Amino acid sequence: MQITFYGVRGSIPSPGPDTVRYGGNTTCIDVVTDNGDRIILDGGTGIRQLGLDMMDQLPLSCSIFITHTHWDHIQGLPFFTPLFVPGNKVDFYGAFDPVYMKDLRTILAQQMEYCYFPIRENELKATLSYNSLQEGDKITVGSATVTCILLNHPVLNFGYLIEADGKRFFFTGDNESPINIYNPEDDDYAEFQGLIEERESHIIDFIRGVDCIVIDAQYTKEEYFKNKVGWGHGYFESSIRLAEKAEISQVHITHHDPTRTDSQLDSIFSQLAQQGAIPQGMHVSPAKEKYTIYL
Amino acid sequence: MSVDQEKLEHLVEQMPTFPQSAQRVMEICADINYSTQELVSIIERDPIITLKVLKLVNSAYFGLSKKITSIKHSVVYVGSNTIKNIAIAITTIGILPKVAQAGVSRTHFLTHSLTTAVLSRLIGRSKGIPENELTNFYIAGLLHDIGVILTAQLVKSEYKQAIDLARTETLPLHMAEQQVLDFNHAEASALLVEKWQFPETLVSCIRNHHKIDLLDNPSAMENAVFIANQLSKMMEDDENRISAVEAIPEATQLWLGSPIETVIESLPDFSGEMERIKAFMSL
Repeated sequence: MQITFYGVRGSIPSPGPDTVRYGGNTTCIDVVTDNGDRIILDGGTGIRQLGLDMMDQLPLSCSIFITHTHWDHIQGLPFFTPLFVPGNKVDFYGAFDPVYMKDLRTILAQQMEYCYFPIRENELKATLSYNSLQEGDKITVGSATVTCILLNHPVLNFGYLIEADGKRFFFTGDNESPINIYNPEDDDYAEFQGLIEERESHIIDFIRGVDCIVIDAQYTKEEYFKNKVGWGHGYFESSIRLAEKAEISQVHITHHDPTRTDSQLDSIFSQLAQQGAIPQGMHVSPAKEKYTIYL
Repeated sequence: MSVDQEKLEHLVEQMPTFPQSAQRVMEICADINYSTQELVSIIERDPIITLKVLKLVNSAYFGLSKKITSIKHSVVYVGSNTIKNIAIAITTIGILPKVAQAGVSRTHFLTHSLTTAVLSRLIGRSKGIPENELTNFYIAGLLHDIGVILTAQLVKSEYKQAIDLARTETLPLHMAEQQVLDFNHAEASALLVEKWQFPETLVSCIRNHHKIDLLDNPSAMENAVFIANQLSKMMEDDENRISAVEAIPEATQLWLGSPIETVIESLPDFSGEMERIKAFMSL
């Protein structure tokens, strides 16, 4: 299995000289099995370049799994060139939005409405399908299976487990481990804590021992506790801890904050190592555009 | 027969909620730094929002492998922001009129539901039921009569006749409903929670809350909700009470131990809980 980052930035693209090494495009990960089956995770702005890189293999077929429909995970789709080419086949998978009662097609088509984009969804020439997922659904894509689990973000967000070629890879999409809304002295604290622990063990059981995880950690611990609690993202230590509990040794941190420069990322990671925040035997690195992981 | 699951389910979608909670939900949600804790406490006090939130988070849309049985549970599984947005969507439907369909007073209904919920939990706790199970006692108490306000909306004039009959004959409401409608609110409430696949113990507790005397071996939840319901009715003024207090069956009395009149004194948190209900009702 080959896993290549095409977008590692969170929230909004952040091009410029300070982000050129890790990359400024928003979330998109290309996964290709040994058999050549292609699974794309999210359609952030990184998917534009991926689409161009795929154009020498026409007609093509791929499956795009959307973790959630916030802009930074779908905004590149109107610029994904394979969608415009007859003969290509693209299958979309993602959650139904139960708050606004919209399915994936409606949401993706709305970002191509005429006031936002000159070409409407129904003018796309590739053969498209849209599939709503429920937690636990297992989809077969050629030689791979993709299974989804609900994680915590301020919209329905699925993490995806991809299994192929005897390897297992997990991508969280955006995720914040829930924290207790009560203070330890409150009556409801223990009950809420019990629910959090039950949920965390459900997630850990699901991802235990995967060969590689790509995990959201947008913030430093200080940033998180200062004013980012509830924003739906992890901080470096919380994501490393989740990977440790799930006994995962290869960890790539993604969804870099748009304000984070390359040199800041470097220094954060060297500090984490110096402070002993990285467990022994665990390899942790910041996700980097166009970097490929081979499993 | 004009009351069925499908019609009731459809009604829930359009059902407005109580002004106390609707207004607070809107105020809380207009603040970007809202308190999840406060949001949870408001939703937990509103049977209609609670029912709708639990319905949605347990729906196929989320497809969760785990049953979600409380608002706190919902927050942990689908996130506070999603719960907030679901609550906003519910409250924008509007608020119940002061006197809802068929003459059901919204204040009376809410006070009765909340009091029954709180008492069910307190009684369960006093009998040594573990805290994690008490959530279902509370939810069963909160939702036991949800069928009243929904059925009243579905068959207005017949329901008015049932309420009038219960009042003039001093009958428990479900008996008057049975006479007039060949149906009763316990069944209506149960049909809904059953449809949305709430836990079986909760469904049967709601279904049986007026026929506990027919059960060989009522569960602790069934006993607690029955007693809480009677106590809640005993606390009501005669003019507000739309359903007569029922006699306690022997098995339930045995489970309870002490006479019902002395139960309230034995519940340590009772006065604090009642104060909180009062404060909520005056919002």
